[in-house]
Amino acid sequence: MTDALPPVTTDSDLMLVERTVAGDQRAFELLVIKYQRRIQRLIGRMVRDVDLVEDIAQETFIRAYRALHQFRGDAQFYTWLYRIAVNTAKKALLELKRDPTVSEGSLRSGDDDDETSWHGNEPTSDETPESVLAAKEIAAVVNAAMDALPADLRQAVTLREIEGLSYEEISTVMNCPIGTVRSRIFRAREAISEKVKPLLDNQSGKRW
Amino acid sequence: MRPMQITLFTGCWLRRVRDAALALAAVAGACSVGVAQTAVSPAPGLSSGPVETAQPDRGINEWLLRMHEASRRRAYIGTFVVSSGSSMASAKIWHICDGQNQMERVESLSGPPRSTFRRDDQVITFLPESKHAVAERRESLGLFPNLLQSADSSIAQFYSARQAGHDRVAGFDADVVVLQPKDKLRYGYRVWSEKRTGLVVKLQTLDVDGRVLEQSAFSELQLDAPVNMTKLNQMMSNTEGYKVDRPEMIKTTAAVEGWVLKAPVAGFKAMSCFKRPVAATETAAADNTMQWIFSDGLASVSLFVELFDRRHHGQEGQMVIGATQTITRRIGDWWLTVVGEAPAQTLAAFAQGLERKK
Amino acid sequence: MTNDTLKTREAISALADGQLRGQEFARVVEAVSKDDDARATWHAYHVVGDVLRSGDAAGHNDLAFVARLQIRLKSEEVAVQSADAVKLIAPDAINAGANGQFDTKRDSANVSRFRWKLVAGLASFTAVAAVGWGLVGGLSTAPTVNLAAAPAAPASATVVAIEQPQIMIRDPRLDELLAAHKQFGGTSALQMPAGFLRNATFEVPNR
Repeated sequence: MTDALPPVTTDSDLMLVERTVAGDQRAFELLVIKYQRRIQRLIGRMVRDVDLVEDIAQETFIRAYRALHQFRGDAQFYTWLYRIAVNTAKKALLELKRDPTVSEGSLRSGDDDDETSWHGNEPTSDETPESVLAAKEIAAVVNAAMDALPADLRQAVTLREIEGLSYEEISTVMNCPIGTVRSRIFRAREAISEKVKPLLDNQSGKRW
Repeated sequence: MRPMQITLFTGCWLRRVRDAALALAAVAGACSVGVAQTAVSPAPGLSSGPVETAQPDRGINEWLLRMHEASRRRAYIGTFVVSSGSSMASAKIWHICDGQNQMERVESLSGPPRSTFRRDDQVITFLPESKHAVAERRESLGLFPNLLQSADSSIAQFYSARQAGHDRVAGFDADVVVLQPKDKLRYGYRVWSEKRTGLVVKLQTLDVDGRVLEQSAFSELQLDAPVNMTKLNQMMSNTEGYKVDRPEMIKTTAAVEGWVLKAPVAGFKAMSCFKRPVAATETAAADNTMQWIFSDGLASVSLFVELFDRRHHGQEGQMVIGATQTITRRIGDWWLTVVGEAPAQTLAAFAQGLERKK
Repeated sequence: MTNDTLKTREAISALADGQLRGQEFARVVEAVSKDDDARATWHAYHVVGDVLRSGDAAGHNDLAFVARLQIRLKSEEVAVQSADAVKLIAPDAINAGANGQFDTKRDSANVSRFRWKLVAGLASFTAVAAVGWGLVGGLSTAPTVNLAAAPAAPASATVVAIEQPQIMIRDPRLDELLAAHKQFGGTSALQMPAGFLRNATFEVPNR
């Protein structure tokens, strides 16, 4: 399964970009938290070494931050960020190939540069057995929580997160006011995240 | 956070240094265009739209008056972003009018912090970092309606307006109006005017080829917002802890100061003239800088004249920031700086036309 | 869990879907960065979304990633500042003499450059209504707008610079004059919303 589904909400992204450019760096953090997993997954398809993946992801966001004023909102923010990530990774790979001390094991094959390629069940950026387990656990919890939701809440959050419908479209599909849509999506998210939160970042970072 | 703004808003004047001879040649060309023509062809890039109807230009005055009134009468709170090239700056603005008086507050969101308050024509700017405040009167702010109402109003003579569709800005539906110059001496504008009130929510300044030189827009806007005038007044009067400076500005006329524009630049009328005293320093005697302001109703040009000083005044040249051009020129014992939101050839025409009275 | 916490979380959910504007938007952005619970909520909601879309999970190291990024961003800023200062002072063969060159060593103390009559003590350049911004390199290549086409819903034109910048200088005196010029924005109908707003908005970081 690829990241074929578009990220939700460009209006929000653009507003956060504008706010960052206007001087509020905290708005940028919100964007980072939103997209970091996606970006790391993308880079992870091109580069095998997990530390390197994270370094390239860091570099991607730094470059995006520096270039934010050039983002005009005429394309989706994620598309723009995606290109920066791919370019940053390619550049890093080129540099690595010149470095004789770097083992081939750090790199995936050149075909992986193709953004549409996907290698099935290959692990995500973090490859320790611990973290693979942690990731699987999070996925399991989310799915179980979804199943446990009342139907209307599950439908609302599915239409929003998976189908990418707007609140207006969802209110049409579900035949309810927009306020209800907003409330249902919130309650669904709340119910699921209550179960997920304990699994997230409860240590301050295992890596160092 | 500051250094990020250096990347974005490097406060640089772009200098295109030209041969003095070249500059003069350009000016000579511009003058013959500017002065001789009466009926003019539209500038390229802003090429003709539909054939003009019997009363085409009454439209522009109506549009402009509506926009102007909205900016005065309506209460609003918004975030405002100005951008040009890759530079951007923004501020938050509060505005209210109680029928008699207007009040406004502007808080910078980019660059060093500053708070500006305005009550009618009284303005004070607080600079928290240095604990200084600058207070001044800006009498020109009420000028515009007079411009439109005066018998020899020339806005319609030099610009035409046409509606160019609809758009949405900061959540509001807006009419898009293009203000097209009728000659090459001025820029064009694309204005987004909020449908209900006429408030300008976005504005682009366009060069002769239709390229956007500069854009100002609300990124967030709350119309008919509950702005508290009393509170603003309190904040404005509270200068405690601040050293307040009131720069001296003396109203005068160019003739009294000894200057005349021998060849007027089409469309631009002299609006006012001021002189500001300049303190003596180790390297220069006390002086006055004259500022002579011209406007064609949409664009303004200032002529700054001061005594020539070899230590500070070197290269004649041309510089640009966004939609604002500036050229510098030596005229005998004086140094002229022309600043304005108009093409370089227009500024050059002013520079060429300024003369010391005999 | 307090009612306030719940309300904030509800707002965070709305923010994630681009539903917030104005004050509320600003308030929630601030809350997410200041308040741990709000942050954890923004994070969790997005992890949930990612899992639902891609079936793939991560997220247990995310905030550590962000913390590390923040440190880098701060040192990034410092590096940027010095680089630009160097660029701006670039020796310019054409500009002989003291004209207009921004000299970091002298300027902060050099009152004589600032020619308006100033009340004693107001020596700082930033104290004057100093404004200005430049056409930084790296022009976008957006197409020019054909005004004659008059589209029904005009695309927001990209802001471009018209010419390649050749030399860039900083000139505090010019900034002063620009400020004085903008002060008379009342002569224009297009004040948007008020002429002095532009004066108040642009800043030169004089560092």
